[in-house]
Amino acid sequence: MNPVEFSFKSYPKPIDMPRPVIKATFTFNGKKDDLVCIIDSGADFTVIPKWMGEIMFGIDFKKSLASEEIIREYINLEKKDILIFIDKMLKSNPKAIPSPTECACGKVTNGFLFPIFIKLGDNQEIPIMVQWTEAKDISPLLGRIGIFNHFSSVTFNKKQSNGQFLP
Amino acid sequence: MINNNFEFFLDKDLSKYSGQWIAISGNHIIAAGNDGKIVVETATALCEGKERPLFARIPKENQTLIL
Repeated sequence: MNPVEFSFKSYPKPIDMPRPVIKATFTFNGKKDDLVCIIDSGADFTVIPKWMGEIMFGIDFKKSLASEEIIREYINLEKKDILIFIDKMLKSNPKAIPSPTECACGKVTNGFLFPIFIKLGDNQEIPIMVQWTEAKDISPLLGRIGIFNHFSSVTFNKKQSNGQFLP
Repeated sequence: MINNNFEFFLDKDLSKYSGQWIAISGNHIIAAGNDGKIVVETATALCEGKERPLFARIPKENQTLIL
């Protein structure tokens, strides 16, 4: 992997809190879209509103609902093996695993886990598991699993208003 | 010189889009609004046959993000 830089942006107003943001390209089903994501090193998964999965990538979460067997396999999975699980899912017919999201504030929202590909900087696409949430109006968040695993460190340099994923 | 949609996003004062979804293409905000689906559909129609726009959700003013 090559290093990937990201920036801090104060928004909506230029006097607001600077937030670490990155452009991520998501692909699935031959469809591709660029989203601005807030980098959230505390989030297990990348989180995107479910409606975006439906209209941007044509994911039908209800029709793709995972069988009890797959759900059990995920629940009992040693999470260190999750990359193998994601890879296996993307090589077959990906399924949606019902999964609630718990926000740091304690609010729980329903959603699904469903794998997709992501491209950061000039690197190749990598498979990740996305938490597609029923929460309609949240900024897409870039979480750890499937992304941070590919880099040796992630630095946040607030003084210089930037940061890096380092190989 | 701004040469891509993400640089435009970083450079632009987005105060007036607080709480909205936006779509950026060719150094312009080509669609914005509270309903993300409408923003995506509008921007998709406007960019038909061209490069896809960059989509972003702008946080509301004076809100602390607890992620």
